[in-house]
Amino acid sequence: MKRPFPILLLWLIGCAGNEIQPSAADTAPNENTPPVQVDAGIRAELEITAYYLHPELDYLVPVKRTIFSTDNPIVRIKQIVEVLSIPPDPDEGLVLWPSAIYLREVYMVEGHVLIDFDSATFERMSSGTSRELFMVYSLVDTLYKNIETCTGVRILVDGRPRDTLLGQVDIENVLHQRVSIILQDEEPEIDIQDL
Amino acid sequence: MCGLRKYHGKEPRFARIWAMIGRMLGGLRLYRFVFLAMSISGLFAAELDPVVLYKGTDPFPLNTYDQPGIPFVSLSDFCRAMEYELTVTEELQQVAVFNRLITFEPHRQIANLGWKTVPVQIRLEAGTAFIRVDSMINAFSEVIGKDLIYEPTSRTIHLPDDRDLLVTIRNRWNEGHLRVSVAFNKRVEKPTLHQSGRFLVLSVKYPHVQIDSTRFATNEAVEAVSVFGNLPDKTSEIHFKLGETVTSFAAEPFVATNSELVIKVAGDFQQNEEKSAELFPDQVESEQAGVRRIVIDPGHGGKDIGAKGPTGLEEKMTTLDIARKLQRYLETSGEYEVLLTRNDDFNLPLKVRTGVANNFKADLFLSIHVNAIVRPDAWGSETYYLSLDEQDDFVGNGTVEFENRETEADETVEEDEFGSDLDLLLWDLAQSEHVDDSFRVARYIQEELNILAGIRNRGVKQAPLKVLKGAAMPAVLIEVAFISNPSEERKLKSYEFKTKVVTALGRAIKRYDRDVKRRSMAQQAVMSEDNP
Repeated sequence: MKRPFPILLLWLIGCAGNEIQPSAADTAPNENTPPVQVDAGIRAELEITAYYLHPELDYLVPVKRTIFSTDNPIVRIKQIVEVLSIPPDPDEGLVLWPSAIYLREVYMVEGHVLIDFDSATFERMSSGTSRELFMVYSLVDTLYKNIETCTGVRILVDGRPRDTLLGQVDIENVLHQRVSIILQDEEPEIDIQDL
Repeated sequence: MCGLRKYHGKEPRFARIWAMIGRMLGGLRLYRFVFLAMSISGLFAAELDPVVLYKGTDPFPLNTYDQPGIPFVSLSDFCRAMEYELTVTEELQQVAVFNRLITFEPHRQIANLGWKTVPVQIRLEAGTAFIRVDSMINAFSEVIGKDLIYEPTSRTIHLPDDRDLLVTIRNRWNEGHLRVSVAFNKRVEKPTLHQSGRFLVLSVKYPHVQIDSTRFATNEAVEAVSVFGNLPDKTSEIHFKLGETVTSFAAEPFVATNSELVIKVAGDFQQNEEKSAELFPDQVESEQAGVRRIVIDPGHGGKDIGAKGPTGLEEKMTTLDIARKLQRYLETSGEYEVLLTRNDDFNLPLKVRTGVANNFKADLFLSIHVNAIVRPDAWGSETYYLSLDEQDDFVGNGTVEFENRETEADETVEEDEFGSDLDLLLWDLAQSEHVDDSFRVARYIQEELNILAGIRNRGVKQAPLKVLKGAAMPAVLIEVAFISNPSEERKLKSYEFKTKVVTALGRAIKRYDRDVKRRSMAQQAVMSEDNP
């Protein structure tokens, strides 16, 4: 009966090991990281505005989409990111983000949204400057539009800042909304009779 | 001790031997005066070190015409060492540097570099031209596009090898302490800093190091700087000799992407006002306006293939091909000097690409790309110039909250309110003063591409593109056509289409060149009216 203590100790160590969460750097297996998953069990829906590429390729266009309503901003941000990878109707706009977005983590610090992507998201993407520009700012503008407290967006890849996402557009610093690349509603025509 | 002093390699050794014999025998009565005289002449001779040009690690001694102060070195020796052809006439001394000519005019004390004239100090002795070393360094650095370095304490000139790590040291006084900036021209691992007696030792993991301290003035905080390269562990050490009044030092966080280390040295210094290390303050250049030097950046390269066409055409090779053709086109005109950021299939970090342009002192930076987007029928060309963020506090906000950069601060580090964020800000602002000119270039390019190559004009656009940010000259990025469009991919493969593109780009550059000259002349006219 002198054996149980070491066995118990080993069992306790084993239990403790199971509870240790892997660090962010350890959770970056390119193919094993699952695409964005949204918590189940949320029922109410919320309409958001997501930005896609205009069919003429010159602007971003707003498209209404629906996500689950939640008070947790991190969960909402994850849903918004996922929405950007879902193609809208062809006459509404064109999808810019790849169909599988691998998110490592999302944080919110004093109004700044920090999104850490797995580099697997951008593998095999062929992009020129325009796509990269619209892609980055579809994310930034969509977050600004739907997260009231958002004052800036920082993009990381594999836990580290990068100069660019795909080779051109600067993402080294915090990014801010760019309304100039969103297609603005045309000025309503004024009926002379109203004057 | 003014006068012509010939140096033929072994002479100082003989001079030293004479000096030694003179010193040894100087005490003998019989020959006292003779040897004393020999001793004195030997000592003087031994003190006059030659100027030595180092190409990498190979030394080339240069004849000098010594006089107190900055030495004058033989132009013919310099040309022989550099393997440049020198042609001497009664009036002129012409040096052919690659395909360019530098003409020295001794009677006018100037050097004509082709596109500009710079003042030089020349002495003629028996038909040989001796040029003050600072003038020579400046003139040749301009033409070869590489900074020659003159180290006054060792009287050596260094031509940095491509493999060398060039370390530029600057200093300035700031509120009672000395800020020493150590900037590297290549990305390096974080250097280590420690104190050894009166020396601060900066250890760099790079064997071949060249120091450019022409912007560094010794002072009561740092009395001397010396470098010890190629150490057995493949590192180099830079030693800063600290003054006696130094009480402490601290290094700011090293940002690998900036490749700069700033050391603050504090102490009981006498009031040191802002002192610049202008070694040669009497140099005034008379520059002609216009485009002279152009850097063309073929996008992507190496593992980064860029976009890929439906049949497999790669952006990196297409951009390289167009860039090479454009270089030939522009150089053939004889009006421009053109440098490619890469002339082969390898990748360069974006900051290095603009760094190449800044180092070359280019007047224009063009980054060549081809486009790709989700719609395969997209076609046409776009030209981008830089826009910063739409909020004014773009960078200031951007770097404070998420300090997840490669900043591994020493324990001795203390934060400075003007730390590396300011450096980032300055980097980003480098292009801001050229935005108007960049727009002009972009517009001309779009117009010419549309007219000559028949490419749909998708317009001039602004975007926060990394490759344009650090450029200290007008800079644009051209998306020539859509490689993702099968029809345009086919065109991009054709010699005829690429020739049209190159001609269009060349014409746009010439239009811009004329535009700059016209505006400069107009400005001069206004100034002369204001100051009759």
